[in-house]
Amino acid sequence: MIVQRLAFATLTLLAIVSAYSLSVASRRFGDAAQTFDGIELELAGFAFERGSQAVTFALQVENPGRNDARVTFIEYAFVVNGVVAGGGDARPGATIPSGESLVFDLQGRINDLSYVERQPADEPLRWLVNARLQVNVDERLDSVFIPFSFRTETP
Amino acid sequence: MIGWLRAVLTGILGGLCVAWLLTSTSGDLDGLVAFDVPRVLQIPGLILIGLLIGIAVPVIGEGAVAYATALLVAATVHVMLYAVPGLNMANYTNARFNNGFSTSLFVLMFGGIFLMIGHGAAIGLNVYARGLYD
Repeated sequence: MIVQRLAFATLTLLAIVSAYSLSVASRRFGDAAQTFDGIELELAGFAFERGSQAVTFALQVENPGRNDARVTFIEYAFVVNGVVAGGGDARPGATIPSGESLVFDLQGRINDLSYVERQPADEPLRWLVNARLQVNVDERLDSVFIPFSFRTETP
Repeated sequence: MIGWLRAVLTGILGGLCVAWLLTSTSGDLDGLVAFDVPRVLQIPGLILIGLLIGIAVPVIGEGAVAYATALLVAATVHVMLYAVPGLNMANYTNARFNNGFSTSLFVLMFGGIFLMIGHGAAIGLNVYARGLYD
């Protein structure tokens, strides 16, 4: 009978620790999910000159969530008038504090320059930038990619 | 009647322990628990919890109820860890629910096997102890 009670008491103690531990895990997971889902991306500038291989653009990342967000990797591909013509990547390793935003100045490269030069000079170039951003919203969790894309035009 | 209630209560307590152990040693949330259990203790921990349940509820029928309750509580608690944060969020993704659901199935199957080993050992111990006292 004593052994029985001891086992029950041990289970009770372990269960109390478990309940606390699990509630903390759920809250941390909720904060991370809220931060991840709240991240907003906006194109803050885009520049390209015909004849040049360099593409520069700025990406504003806003973090309204409860956790800091660390941006570790950004990868992008440029689709010019419907054809993939270049791209690039960056490893900013920057942390965006909770409630703040950060602008990343990014550079890409046109790989298929002859294709871009063949496009009609009197029509604007139509750009589609497909990209993904690797973000870590809690150092105890794995980083997650956020895919995004935007369209713009240059003369 | 008290025996059955005690079995269910033991199952609930054991289920919480199993949920903590498996959340802490596997899945996406392993780094988020307040008290982290080393992975090497996953299987011995499950066996120990099964043993404790079996010792706390020595009657075999009631022990079976405690065992089933523990597994159900563990799986439910585990899936709730993923689901509860979504109650306060408008755009909570289905992928997180699915992930929680699939890992709770893992809790049911994996936890069930090793919990049963511990429980079986406890039944053996109980029978042995009864033999000593008789």
